[in-house]
Amino acid sequence: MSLVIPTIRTIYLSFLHVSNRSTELIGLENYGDLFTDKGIVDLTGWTGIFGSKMFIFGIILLVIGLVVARVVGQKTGHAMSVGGGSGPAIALGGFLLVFAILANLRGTIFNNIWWVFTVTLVATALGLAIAVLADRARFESVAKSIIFLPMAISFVGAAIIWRFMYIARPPGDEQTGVMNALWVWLGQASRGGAAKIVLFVILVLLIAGLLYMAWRAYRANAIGLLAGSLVTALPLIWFLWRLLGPGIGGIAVASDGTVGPDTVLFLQQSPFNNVWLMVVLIWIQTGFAMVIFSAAIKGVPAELLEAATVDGATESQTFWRVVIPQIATTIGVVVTTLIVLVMKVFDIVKVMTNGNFDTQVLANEMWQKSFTEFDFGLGSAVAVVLFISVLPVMYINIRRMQRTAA
Amino acid sequence: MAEIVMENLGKIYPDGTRAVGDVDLHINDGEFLVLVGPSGCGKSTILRMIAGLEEISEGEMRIGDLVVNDIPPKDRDIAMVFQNYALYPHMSVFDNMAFGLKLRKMDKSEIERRVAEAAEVLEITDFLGRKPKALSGGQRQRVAMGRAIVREPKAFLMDEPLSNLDAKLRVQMRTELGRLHTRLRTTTVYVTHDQVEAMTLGHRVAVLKAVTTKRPDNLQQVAPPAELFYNPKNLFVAGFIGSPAMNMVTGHVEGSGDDVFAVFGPNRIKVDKKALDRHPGLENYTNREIVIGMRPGDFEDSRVIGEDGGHSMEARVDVVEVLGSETFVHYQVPVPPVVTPEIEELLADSGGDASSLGSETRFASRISSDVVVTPGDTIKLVVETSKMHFFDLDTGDRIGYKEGTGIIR
Repeated sequence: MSLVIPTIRTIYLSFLHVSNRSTELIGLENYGDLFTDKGIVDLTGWTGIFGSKMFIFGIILLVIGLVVARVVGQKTGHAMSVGGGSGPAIALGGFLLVFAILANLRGTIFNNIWWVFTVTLVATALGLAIAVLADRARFESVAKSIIFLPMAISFVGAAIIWRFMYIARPPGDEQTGVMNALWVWLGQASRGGAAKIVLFVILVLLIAGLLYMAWRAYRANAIGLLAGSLVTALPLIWFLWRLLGPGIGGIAVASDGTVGPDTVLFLQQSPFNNVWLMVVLIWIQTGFAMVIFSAAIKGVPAELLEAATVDGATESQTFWRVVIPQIATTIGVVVTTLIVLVMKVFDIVKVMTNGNFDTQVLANEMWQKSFTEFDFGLGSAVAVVLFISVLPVMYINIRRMQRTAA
Repeated sequence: MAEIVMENLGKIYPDGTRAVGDVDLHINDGEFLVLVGPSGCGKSTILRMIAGLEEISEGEMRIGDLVVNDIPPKDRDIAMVFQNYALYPHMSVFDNMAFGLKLRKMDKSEIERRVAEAAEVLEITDFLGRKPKALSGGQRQRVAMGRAIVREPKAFLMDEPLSNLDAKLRVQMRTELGRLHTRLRTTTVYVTHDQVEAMTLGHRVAVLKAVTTKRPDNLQQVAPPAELFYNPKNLFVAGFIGSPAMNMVTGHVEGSGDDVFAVFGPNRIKVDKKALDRHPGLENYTNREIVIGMRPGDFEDSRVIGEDGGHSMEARVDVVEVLGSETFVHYQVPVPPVVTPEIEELLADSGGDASSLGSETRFASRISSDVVVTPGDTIKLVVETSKMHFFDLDTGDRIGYKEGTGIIR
């Protein structure tokens, strides 16, 4: 009852136009305004999708993955066989593809979808990866505690912490934000000196290590590890090339040729300022996903893993074909929980940008429409849209709960 | 199909505890070998070392011609049946059986053929589409067997596969396992703590005991079931094999030539020549304290077979168990129980110690159900003295043990 009455009241409000002293019933006009508002739905950037590097890279990965899967599949008489080599490529390719599309479609609604897509997937994947890697490792409890710690911080607190991380001061000044301090330092380092040599050595060692790992994986016929280490090596090689060539980090070349420090305005440069905001929520939620997955993984009977080993499965085959199906319900719970949580994201955006610079999300839109513009009708309409979009996820969650209870 | 050879096999865990030591075992091609012993004796560890689930810390293991010490499980070409079946809950019965073959990138038609064939043998064809959850314990057990069979491996490893079934089903599956092995002739290593399973299934049975710091070897005796029963190498094997357990008592032998008597407490029983022949060197123990062992089955009530030349003893019956086909009588012999290091360990395993045993030794005898015995009766029991066992009290070893002399008929 306590839920139903406010809901009905909000839905009723969304049909009203509330101005200074008059209130009139205008039907669905608020919803019409909502979906035609340039700030809320903006498709004009769609041509930019095809030009974005991420989109192209995603397509390439997807095609490679599908071709590999088809070739492997043909050998065993299947239409497709997604395995160690093709699986990660298809997953990453698909992710980049959707990510690129959502980055180019602007407006509050697409922004919100972008948040849900990115934070849910990245937090789930990271949480799962950490849970698996930390499982039965030496410093498991310490590592997990550290990653779980952000869960204890309020969203507002986290947002403030990360604002300090991202803060940019005028290029000439001392940088107090960690990210910009690093960026400017990198810029200076790549212009020469001992730091450049140290950086160079570290990079070369890292790349050599990864290539050695890839070679070992190739010898051991572990295609997943081979692809993984090569893909990880690629950005490092690019990094090295930038370091030796034009330089990396915060460098600005003035018109007169003098080189000075440069900063990144993490929270102002659209559309990727959104990603920097998402990082905060991912930072908080990865711990949550990790703890739940960790418990689920420990719940998989050891005998089952041994059976798979004797059956001839490698570590990764055991993971994908035995462990993952065993914890599928848990993954479902984590994903749906995260979707609902991210859909309602408010505090982080409110504190860090207040929806400026193209970072608006539905919850903050609702707040601003209602309490800064005092357009309760439109605010309620946003609330109803948010409510309706959460419903299917909640429905799935409740259905699953009933099934497990039965 | 292949033989499995273990030489000086040992297992020490990282914390320094030893689980297995000095195991020399040659399992022949096509043999059904059973590893049996009380819990903690290392039998499962040995099986897991064959499977590759447990690292080998000492010695060498060969499967066929291949030294497998450093070979991962997937390349050992063995199949294992687990105690809790370890079926993949998310896969249908078909997929459970086909999983190992799919991982080996086998042809689809070949997979289907093998699974269908195994399902036929195990009579689970109707369940191929079901998930393990929808199967009964016996059916799950069959699927677990099927998963091993379809692989057509060099050897089957079975870790107490029947222990989760109810008694009736266990007997039935035991028979089927025997039949299956006769049909497939694949080398099988079978771990159990149930001696009835061991005796009924094994071509040979390896009796194991937990290692101690003083005695770092597990293997007590490896022999065909009948040999284990009639010619136990030491007190541990004698006490472990046979149900109810062999009656053991401290006593001595006296006399010489054909007139040798076993003396324990008030009893003086003439020992048959055959028993003397099976314990060469027993004469050296004359009048020395030794352990005398008599199987419960080697007694009979004198009312059934009549009194004969001094092979009998009197017993005041405490408990009578009438099973219909036979009757077990329990009574006390007024001699303190046998206490050797072996027995102490056996006791520790069942959670007792020597002092708690009192001054009397409990005996059990199986007699014909044709005579009526009630508790409190004093009856005369005739002992089948040709099957008497004599053990050295200090070492616990059988006096004059010689391999292959067990079967006397």
